[in-house]
Parts: sequence; C-alpha cells; structure tokens
Amino acid sequence: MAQPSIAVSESVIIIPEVDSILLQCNLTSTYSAPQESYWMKNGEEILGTRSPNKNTEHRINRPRGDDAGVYMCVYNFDMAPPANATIEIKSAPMITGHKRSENKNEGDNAVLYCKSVGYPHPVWTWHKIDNSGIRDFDNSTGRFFISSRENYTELHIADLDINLDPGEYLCNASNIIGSYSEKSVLRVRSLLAPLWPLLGVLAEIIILVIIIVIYEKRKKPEDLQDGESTAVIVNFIWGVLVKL
Amino acid sequence: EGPDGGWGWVLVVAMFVSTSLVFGLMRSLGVFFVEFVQYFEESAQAISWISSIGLAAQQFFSPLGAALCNAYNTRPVVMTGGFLSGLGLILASQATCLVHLYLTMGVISGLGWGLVFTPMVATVMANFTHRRALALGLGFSSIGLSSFAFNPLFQLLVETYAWRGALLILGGLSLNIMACGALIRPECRSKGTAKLDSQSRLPCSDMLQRVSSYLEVSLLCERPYLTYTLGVTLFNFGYFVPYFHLVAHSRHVGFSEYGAAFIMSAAGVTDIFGRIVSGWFSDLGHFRVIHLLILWTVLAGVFIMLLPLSSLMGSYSALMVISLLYGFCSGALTSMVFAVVPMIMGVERMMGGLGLLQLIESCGGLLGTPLSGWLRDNTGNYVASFMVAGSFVLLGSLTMTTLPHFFSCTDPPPPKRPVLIDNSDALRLELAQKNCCSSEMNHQAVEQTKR
Repeated sequence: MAQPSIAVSESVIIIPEVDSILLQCNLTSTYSAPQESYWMKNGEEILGTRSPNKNTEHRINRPRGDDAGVYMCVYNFDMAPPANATIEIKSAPMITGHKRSENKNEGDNAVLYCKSVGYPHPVWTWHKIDNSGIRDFDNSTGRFFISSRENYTELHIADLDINLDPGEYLCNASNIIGSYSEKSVLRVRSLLAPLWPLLGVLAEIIILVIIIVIYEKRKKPEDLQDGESTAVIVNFIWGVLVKL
Repeated sequence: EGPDGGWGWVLVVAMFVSTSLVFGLMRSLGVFFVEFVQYFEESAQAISWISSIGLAAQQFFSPLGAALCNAYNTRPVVMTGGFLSGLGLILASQATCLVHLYLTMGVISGLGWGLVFTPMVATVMANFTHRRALALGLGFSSIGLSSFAFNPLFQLLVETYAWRGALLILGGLSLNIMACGALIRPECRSKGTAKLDSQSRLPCSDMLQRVSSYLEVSLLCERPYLTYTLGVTLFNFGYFVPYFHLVAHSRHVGFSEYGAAFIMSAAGVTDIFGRIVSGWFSDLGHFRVIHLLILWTVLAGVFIMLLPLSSLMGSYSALMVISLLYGFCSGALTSMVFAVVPMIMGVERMMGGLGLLQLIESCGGLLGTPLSGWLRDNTGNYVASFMVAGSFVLLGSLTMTTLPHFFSCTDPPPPKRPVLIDNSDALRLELAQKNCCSSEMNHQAVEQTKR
C-alpha cells in the first residue's frame, strides 16, 4: 500500500506585522477517505480541530510568541495507520517571566530564573552587569550553577557574599531568529544591618527615661524627698522579696 | 472634685504612644505573616494563631496587670510590661520554629501588653473627671492612626532588613513603652499602705483575701457590674465581625480587591474621628454617658445589619456610606465603653474592674468571629453572619438598659468600695489620702527607720 502523501503549507516566522497565520494540509494521494483529521501543537491535540475533511486548515489570529512551536496535522484512517505532516512556526524568543529583584541575606542561597516563549528553543546565557558593562562572571569560587531547559533557566548562587554578589544579572535567550534579555537585581542584606537602628532606638529610650526622671526630681523638690523615686523602686523590690 | 488636665494631658500622650505600640502593632503584624508562611512553610491558619495567642494573652493577663498595680505602683508594672513586650519581639527575631513564635510573640509579648494596656487606661481615667471621655478618645485614636502608619512602615522594615531584623527593630520600638510608663507619677495607694504595714508571714486566707481585693473579685457579686460586663461581652460578639469579614464580603459581592480594601481604610478613618468626636461631645455634658453609649451601640448594630443589605443592591456607594457610618459609630462606642466604667464601680476600683472586664469581654471576641465564619460556611454568604452580629450588638444595648438608674436624667452617685478595716487603719488611710504622696513617703520612711 502506498504511503499517503500530504501537501503542507510552508513554515512561518512570526513577526509583529503578521496579522494571522493559516496552516494548511492537503491529503493528495490515498487509497481511502480519512475517518477524521486534527491538529496537534507541540505533541498535544488542539481541541476543536477535529473534522472529517481531506483538506484541513488551522488559522491562528494575532499570533504571539507562545503560538510558536511544532504543529502537526494528523489523519486517522479506518483500516490503515495514521499519517501526519509537520509545520514549524518560528519566532524570536521573548522572556515572559523573571524576578525583577531578589533580596537575600548574607550566606543564603539565591535563585534567579527566566522563562521564555518562542521556537526553536533558545540557548540561555547568564551575565553580570557592572560598571564596565556586561561581563561573563567567573565561577572560580564554584558557587554559581546554571540549569537550563527548553524555555526555562535558573541561576543558583550559593553562600551569598555581600561584597561580590550584589548587582544586576542578565539572562539572555537567543535562537536563529533573534534574541532577548532581561535584567534581575540581586541585593544582599548584611546580618548586622538591623543592629544600628536597634542601638539608636535603645539609646533614645534610655535618654528619654533619664530626662523624665531628672525632670520629675527637679519639678517638685518641695513635695518629693530625696531619693523619692529610688524609695518607690526599693519598696517594689522589697515587696517582691516579702512575697518570695 | 477630681483632677482634670495638667499632667493628665502628658499621660494622654503616653497612652497614645503605648496603645499604638500595643494594638496598632498587633493589627499590623499581617506583613510579617506573609513572610512567616513563606519561611516556615506552614499554613496561614497555623501562622494566624500567633496573633490570636497574643491577643488572648493580653486580655487574659489584664486582671493580673490590674492586681499588680493595686499591689504596687502603676509605674513599675507598666515599665515591666513594656520590657516584656519588647523582649518577646526581640526573642522572636531569633525563632527557628513556629512554636518559638507562639511562645515569644504570643505569650511573652502578650503578657507584656496585658500589663500595659489596662493600667495605662485606668491611670488616664483616674487623672480626669470632666474631660475623661475626650482624653480616652484621643488616646484610643492612636490605634487607628498607627494601623495606618505601621503597615507601610513594617513593609519597609521587612524589605530592608528581612523579617528577623525587622522584628528586632520592632522589639526596640516596643521598649518605648517603658519611657511612657516612666511618665506615670506614683500616687497614694491606700491599698499599698495596708499591704506594707503587715510584716509577719501571712496565713493563706489572709493572702487570698488580699489577692481577691487586688483583683476586685467582689465586683463580680454586684449586679450593675455583672450587667455591664454581660452587655460589653455581647458587644464583642458582633463588634469585630465587620473588621474581619467586610473585605471578604465586598469581594464576594463582586467589588474589586482595591475597592474592598479602600472601604476598610475609609471605615478606619471615620473610626478615628468617631472616637475623638464622641469623647468631646460626651464631655459637653448635655447627655449622660450611658445614654450616649446606648445611642452609639444601637446605631452600630443597625449599621452592621444594613451592611449586607446595602451590598445586596449592588451599589458600591451605598456600601461605602454604610461602612463609613459604621466606622464612626464603632469608634464612638469604644470611647464610651471605657468612660462609663467609673460610673458603675467608682474610681478606686476602676483598675481591677477594667482588668476583669477585659478578661470577660475577650470571650465575646474569641467566640464571635468563628461563629460568624461558621455561619458563612453554612449559608454560603455573609448576610446571616452580619445579621447575627448586629443582633448581638443590639442585644447588648438592651442588656445595658437594665442597669440601675438607667432612665433617670442625672448620674447616680458612684458606689463606694465596702470598707472592712478597723479604726486605726481607717485613720491612717484618711491621712494618706489627704496628704497624698509626701505623707505616704514620710510614713513609709518612718516605718523603715523603726525596723
């Protein structure tokens, strides 16, 4: 039995000016009519595309980055194995998710990530931006670890160093159509940082209490005896000791 | 004639600061809870127990704070309370598991807050006679203002220093209560002299009698106090329901997140106004305080019941208007609830009475919100819970009308504490009360030199 042959429309590249994309599959030579046909995107069936036609088409209106991928038209036959054909829709990568800023403590582990859409799946690279521009960071300390999948990448930084690590990090996604990058800011908090405000508040309280006690002693010297407030505190402590 | 003003206004400022650091802080802890859920990976319900334990501890330890103030002077008690509340938060910053947070932020800080709130309120009330309600209103307005200010401040602290650093700084800020406590002048304490006189080891029954007198347990046997406490407990059943459920109800009806949150903020603003305006108005003296209390509570109950009805029509402005009115009435009734207290039990017993009142009314608060939540789960919307809450408030108002001398036009004389001591002690007490602190200090110095 001859393999059925399918004529397909061409691969398409999504660019902003394109209003809609039409994918077409024509079943040209076959020995029997197909039972049904449907479309798949990236290995999953697109719902609502099943039809009994020999010539089937799929329209994408206002195509966006996540419409890119590998499309397949599949024909099912009664008494023969199914036949399919592939059309690729390509687009430049676009980063759809990333952490704009991350605040971590010294010694913690930080994770920066980037998500993209587009096809073919991009190659990910990470860079650090400092005063001299975009640089590859050196992994001499062995604390950086990059894990990338098709549309997702993560940069793990272990044991944050407050002098070396804070700054802007750039994730770059590029494929043969184009490339895209996004910045994330990493801030490292010092463990001792909150101690200064705390000491300031404690100093303020001690000064206030001293001022209040001195003011009270000066305001009514005729009513208060010497050591009046100390007498109150002594009585309090004595009362507690009696109870014990 | 009692004192009115002067140093009392300084105490109002102290009460403003300390109340904002107790209740304003408690209400703004939501910022930390988001961080705790993420860090400890626990459910939101387990985290919300922290503030429940803190609030329950504050109310449970109120009688203890009142009794300690009766036994010793108010100043060391409030300063200890401030120290404990700050200590609890500082220790919480080092927490490694959720139980640590329960113990430090919940129990220790709650104990500190309990030792601070009731004594400060009682001290301010003791220092005013004619302007009492206004002073209380000004003091309580701090809760609303500080909730406004603390939410963005805590958010900033958490972002800059992480939650551990922020809790550390908050603990330091809470220690400001010690400075507020230092402002309280020691005063003549007839109970104090009676206590310091006895030197020998005391038999148990005598100790028990003194403890019960510090706690003012005898108040529980008086009908006016019981009626009043019951009424306030019924208020608490319904009072908190709008604060907990208004946002959820607005979202349920279909308004946006920001719209619902804005309603709460607007109600908070009118709450502040209500506290101050009602205090000022009641001090003008045209009406009895108890009548004004009934007026505000009846209005508040009615507005709670109108809340779901106004949103049933789907109109945002109707819901906003009713919420604003409810906020005003609920703030107004808060000032009045405390201002009525000295009329029921007399100024001398106010400290212990307030402590017991806080403890008993906490039951209403603890039971009211879960009840409304249960009603909502069973009926599917908030209409039933708001209706029940409003009816509880109205029931509380009805209970208040059974207070003795309710329908007379002037205030009855406040009841005096029953005096059960012999003549020599009575004479000493009179002397102490006449010459206030100086004679008491003379007396105690003489006692000490005798030993």
